[in-house]
Formats: sequence, structure tokens, C-alpha cells
Amino acid sequence: MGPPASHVIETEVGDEISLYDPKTEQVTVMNVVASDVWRLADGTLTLEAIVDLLATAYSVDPKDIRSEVATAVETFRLAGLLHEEP
Amino acid sequence: MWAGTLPVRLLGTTFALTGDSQEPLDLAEALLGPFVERDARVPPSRTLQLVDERETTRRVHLFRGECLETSATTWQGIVTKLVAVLNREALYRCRPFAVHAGVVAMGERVVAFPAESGDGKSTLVAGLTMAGATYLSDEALVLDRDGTVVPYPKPSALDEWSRRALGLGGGDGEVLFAPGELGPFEIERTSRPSDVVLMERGDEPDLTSLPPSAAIAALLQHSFNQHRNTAEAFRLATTVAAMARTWRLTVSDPIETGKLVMDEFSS
Repeated sequence: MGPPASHVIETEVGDEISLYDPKTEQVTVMNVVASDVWRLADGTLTLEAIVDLLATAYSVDPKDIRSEVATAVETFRLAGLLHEEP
Repeated sequence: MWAGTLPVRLLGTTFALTGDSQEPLDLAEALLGPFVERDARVPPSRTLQLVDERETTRRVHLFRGECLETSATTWQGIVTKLVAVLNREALYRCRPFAVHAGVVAMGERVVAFPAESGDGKSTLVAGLTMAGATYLSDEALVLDRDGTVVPYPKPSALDEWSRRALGLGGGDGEVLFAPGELGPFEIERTSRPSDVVLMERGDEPDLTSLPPSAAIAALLQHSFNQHRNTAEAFRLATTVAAMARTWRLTVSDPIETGKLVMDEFSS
């Protein structure tokens, strides 16, 4: 899953990341969890691997954050923020 | 035959206001004093004419060239509409980034309240100004390319409810207060926003901290002109959010809410 599309501009403020896509002129403002998902969406990890990593980091059960992680990933895909294989 | 010309400059756009009577120009100058262009070498970008119909039914008009912008039955009425026209055009043309917001300064702090019309920012800003804050704008947070605030102390427009709530008397309709009438104001400042305060209505005034992402979202959502250069707007919004503290302000009674804000941001 991932990596980020090369044209996307990323700015980190505090613990949160905001993204600007110059192709669509859309801005995506993310909370802390979505920002962590974005950081892990480097093209080497599956969705489940990201869920497991964040569950460990947050000391929660994976099932408690799977939905939020999946939503974040789907948002990235729909917005064209991730590199898509041709 | 024009009685005179009043040149004004708002947010970089120069206007020449002409009238076939001196009265409306005097009214306009009383409201727009800080914006009167003293440099005679600066040519106007726009010319607006204030014309008395001089017929049986008293009508006064505001023209832009041959085009009728608006009309009223009194000079006071047409000057009130003139200020709205100037404001709209100045914000349309200003660069690089302007956000629909009230802005005040308290000492070194510059506090911005991004909000839409009717959300209470003008009333809150007027109350804060009357309590000793420095009025920077009740309409727009305007930022220079390095994120520095460009004060825009346009005349404050307060409706009947706001005036009563602030103890400014009653009367009908909207009344304009010239910069300086309610309290101190500034036309120049060299600092960046220190606080971004998002407003919501509630039963009791309250102030809670928010993450910077809330400021980024609010600044972009309330922007007048981010569509002109979205990349630049994004850069400035994130720059402000990185340097400023972000808050949620629950607004109820404007006097009580103003006291809370003054206590928090003046300390």
C-alpha cells in the first residue's frame, strides 16, 4: 500500500500532517492517527501490518483502530494521494 | 460637475470617490480616514461616483462608470453601501491570502477569529476593542507573503442586536463605526498571528485548546481567495498553524465572552 504520489506536497505541523495536491488543488488535513498511517504508507507495508504497528504504538487492540486506519487509506486512494501502479 | 474627489486605498487597491455633492464625500472620509490616499501620485484603479438624483422622490446612487451599483434614500445610506462595495472589491483583489475573520491585537499577540457572516465575530471584535484590545479588522485576516498580518481596520458594521448587547444604543438597521470610535486601532503591524480562535455558539463562554490541523482547515475553509493560488494559501495556512496556538471559543453573551478572551490573551 502506497507509497505517496510523488507530486503531493506534505507539511508537518506538530504531530499532524497536511497534504496539498497541486494536480487537483485539494488540501487534506489529517489528525494524528491518519498522519501516522500516512507515514507508514511507504509501499512496503500491508494494511494489516500498519494496523498491527499502530496498535502496538498506541497500546490498543488492533480491532479498535482497524476501521480508522482503513478509512484513512481509502481516503488517500480516493483522493489520488498514493502512487498507483499502471 | 463633481464637487470633489476622495482617493482611498484599501488592501492595495486605490479608488477615486467622486460626488456631485460634498456631503457624501465628507461622510466617507469620516469612516475611511485611515485609508485616505495622501500620495497624489498614486492613480486610482477604480472610480466610483455618488450622485443625487434630485427628483421628487429623493434617491442617491452609486455608479461605477455607466453602471449603477446601488441606490439609497439618504447620503448616510449610500455611504454605508459604498463601504460594502469597496470592501468586496478590495478583498477580491488583495493578495496573497485573506481569510474571513475578525482580528485584534492584545500587546504582542495577534488573535484571529475565522468565521462566516453572522457567526458573531464583528460583535466579539467590537466588544474586545471597547475593552482595550487593538482593532485590526472585523472582516479579514490578511497575510503578507511571509505570514505577517496586514491590518485592515475597516469601519465596523454592527446591527441592532449587536449594538444593544454592547451597550451602544438601539435604532434600526446596521450602523458603521469608524476606526477609533470604539477603541484603539492599527494600520501597520509587523507580527504574525499568535492565536487562531474558532468560534461556536453555546450556553457558557469557554476556551479549549485544539490541534494545529483545526487552524489549517479553518483558515482555508474561510479564505476569500485561496482559489487564486491554492499552493500559496496552503503554505501560509500551515505556516500560521505551526506558529500560532489554536483554540475553540464557545460564544454566548458577547460581554462575558469578551471578558474570557481578554483574561486569557492579555495575561
